[in-house]
Amino acid sequence: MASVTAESVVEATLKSYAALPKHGKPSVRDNGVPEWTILASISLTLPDACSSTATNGTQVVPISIGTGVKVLPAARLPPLGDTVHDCHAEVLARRGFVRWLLDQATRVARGEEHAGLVLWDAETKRFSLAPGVQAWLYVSALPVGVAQHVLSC
Amino acid sequence: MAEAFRSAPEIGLARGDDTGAVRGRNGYENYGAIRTKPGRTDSPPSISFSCSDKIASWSVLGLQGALLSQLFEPVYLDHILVGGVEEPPAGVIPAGSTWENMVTAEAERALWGRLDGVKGVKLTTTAFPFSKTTVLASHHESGAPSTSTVSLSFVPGLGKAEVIINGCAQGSGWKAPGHTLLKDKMRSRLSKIEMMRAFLGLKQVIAQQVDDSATYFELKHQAEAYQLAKEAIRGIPSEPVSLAWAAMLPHKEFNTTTGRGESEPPFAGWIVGGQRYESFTCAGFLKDEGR
Repeated sequence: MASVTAESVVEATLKSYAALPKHGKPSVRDNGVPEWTILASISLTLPDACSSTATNGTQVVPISIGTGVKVLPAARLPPLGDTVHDCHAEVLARRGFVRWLLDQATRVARGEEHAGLVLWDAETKRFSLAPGVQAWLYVSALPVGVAQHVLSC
Repeated sequence: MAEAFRSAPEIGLARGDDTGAVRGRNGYENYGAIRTKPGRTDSPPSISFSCSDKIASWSVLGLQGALLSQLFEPVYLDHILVGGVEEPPAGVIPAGSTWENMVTAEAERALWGRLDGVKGVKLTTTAFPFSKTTVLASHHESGAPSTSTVSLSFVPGLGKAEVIINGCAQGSGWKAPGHTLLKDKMRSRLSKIEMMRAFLGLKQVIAQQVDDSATYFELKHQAEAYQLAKEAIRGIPSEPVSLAWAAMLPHKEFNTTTGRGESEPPFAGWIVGGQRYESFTCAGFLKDEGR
């Protein structure tokens, strides 16, 4: 199988998002105004030699996708940690990724079915990603702060 | 990890005002200045720091966060891909430069030019169907497009996508921050308390002792190596925010991060709400109330 390319990571992410139902995606408002958003994803890729059976032979695994451009104002932050402060795409993608790591580690520890990308070291009593697995961040637009700057040069 | 830090303190921080964070786009030209969201200065102030600053800090601290760093080796980003880099109209690009060079240089500077780590930024021309540019091109007759108010998290390994509005799952459930936990259905699995519960669950599975009375803040601060690394790039929350910031924030418990020693951490000036938003236990009580 050909080695992983940047485009294959982007394609796998956008394909995964495209398959989702409409609910939660930008729409066209009643007054005709179309909505846009930003998408970010964290994908893991496997080294050439080990397109594992656990991932159906694919080398690119989109782990977590986030879309969004909103944050809670400081006055609305919750004392009980029960709402998400920052709902920007990149932040949701990372938090979803951490949730996935927690889930996979729990499965590994319990001996349940898992994706084969997380390992447990009984000696150090720590988990890690499997060797050779790489992490990719994709952001559909220049991160906040960068784009405005380039355009205002 | 120490390797990545070594070069960081050499980078100077140009400050937007006397005590740190720059609101929105103001002062972005200041090399290394950190910025808060949102970019528009007429919207309500938030203390969420701009994504390029967050991504830059993940490239040093890893993606796994403080809690999981106690059980998981750091997961570093190897590659960053950026889309939506369509070329602007002719005349904008200075002679001798290309749009792509400008964008790559700018993205690298903002993301980790300030810090070592990732293998490089790659640009992609593949369009996201709901990006501002794509939406603009396909709806050019219907006026200016607007930002979606809805956020979404999809983790294929965890089942259905979660739609997040105002920080809550299942839509219109936002209520004034209170002392009663949001109903189960309205809490996002990405909220601090749900992440904390998943972490404690994992600890239990690997037969580590779990202290149910610990707060989120306390659990995060058990990750000593991670917190030291975070201090090295961000400083510690030690100074009151500037008067200008204080006027915009709802109470006086926000602090600005500063370095301990002589050299200024590259991300000093971060504004943190701190313990006030992290003093809950996994059962959903504020520490004082739970006792």
